[in-house]
Amino acid sequence: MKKNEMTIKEKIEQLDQLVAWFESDNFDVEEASSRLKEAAVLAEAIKTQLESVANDVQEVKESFAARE
Amino acid sequence: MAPRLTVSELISSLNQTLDYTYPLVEIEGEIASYKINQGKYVFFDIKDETSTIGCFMMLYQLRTSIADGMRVIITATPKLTQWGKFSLTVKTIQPSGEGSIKKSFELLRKKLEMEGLFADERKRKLPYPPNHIAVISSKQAAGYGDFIKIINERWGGMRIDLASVAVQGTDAADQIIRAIEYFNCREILPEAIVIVRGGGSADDLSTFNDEKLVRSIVSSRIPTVSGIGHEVDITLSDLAVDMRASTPSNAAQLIVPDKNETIRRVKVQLNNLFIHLTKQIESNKQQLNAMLGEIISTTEHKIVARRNYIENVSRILKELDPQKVLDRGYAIIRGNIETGSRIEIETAKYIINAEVNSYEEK
Repeated sequence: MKKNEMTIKEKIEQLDQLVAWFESDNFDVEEASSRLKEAAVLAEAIKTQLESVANDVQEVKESFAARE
Repeated sequence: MAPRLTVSELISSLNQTLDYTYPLVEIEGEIASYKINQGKYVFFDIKDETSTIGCFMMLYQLRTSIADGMRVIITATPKLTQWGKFSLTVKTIQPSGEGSIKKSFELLRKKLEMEGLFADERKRKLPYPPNHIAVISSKQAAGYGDFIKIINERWGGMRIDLASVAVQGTDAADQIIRAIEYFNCREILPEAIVIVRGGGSADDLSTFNDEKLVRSIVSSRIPTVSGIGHEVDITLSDLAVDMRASTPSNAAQLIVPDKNETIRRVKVQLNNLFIHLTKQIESNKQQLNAMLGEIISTTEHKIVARRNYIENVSRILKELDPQKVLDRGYAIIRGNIETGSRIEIETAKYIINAEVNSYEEK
């Protein structure tokens, strides 16, 4: 899935994973720079998406009243 | 002249008249002689201060718990039986008055609790935050308005399917049940069903104490949330759902996080990564410097040791030089040690030719 197709929740999860990598034994300084850039892009995308995206409310067309 | 009829004709005629005049009546009264026969037929009397009428209904139509002495409102069809007995065939029954509503609530709560319908082990965890939820409420209700307002303030990008139903009145419980069934049959299931209704009287909220509705909530394969009434109102539906919120607004708060809080957390996380990386680079630098220092120190030690070794060796070599020995007064004798043979004696200053006169073993 491409980054811009991800939901906010998925982006937050990905950011959490990046943070976990930084705190893990797998941390590597050479790789850290690119991962940090990736985290910055994700953080900005989450912020933008949360500030701009609205919820999509749709009323179900079906009637739930008793059928005579 | 009076018409002459058979007994059956008279009963049939009276039933027609009753059906025409009172197709459905609503009666308020007190229950007496309540009993269930063969596990499917319900019999009781409804009475006031002076009169009593026998009532009959099927057990599956009984949606609330009743007991003798409870005040109720029934909807029923009056009928004369073939034995000439007048009775009411009951369609719906609901407790009336605070005391009866409370008693009915307690009776049904105990019954459902005994069945384990409210047990904590049944409660499922909801996805947080969800991407797709279903809301069962009345589109016009203030409670729904509050819920949507808070949801929109707190979170975005979520799909919300609304089933607009009656949230009070005789048909409300059935409408909510049909909406629960509707969402449970969808090809793409919502991640949670939220049942929302604002505050109201005990009578208004009695819809949510309906036994069939409670069972429908419990059997939903989609996790359920309730936001019904005010903080103090607890219905049986509240006890049956996976997550109970005290009000519609509280339901919105429990379902989704606050986006401002999330944005703040994300910023803090990112900042922590910068700090972490900077610290790591600094730590790596220090490690490198320490290693370089160690290499320099080791090299210096080795050079000193090598120099000392060379000095020692050259001192020993100097001590072994034959000239040094001659300088200390010793001499080197060359030639055969035999009487009469000629030998050469080397001292520090001279080379002396000499002849062996005699010699002896030491």
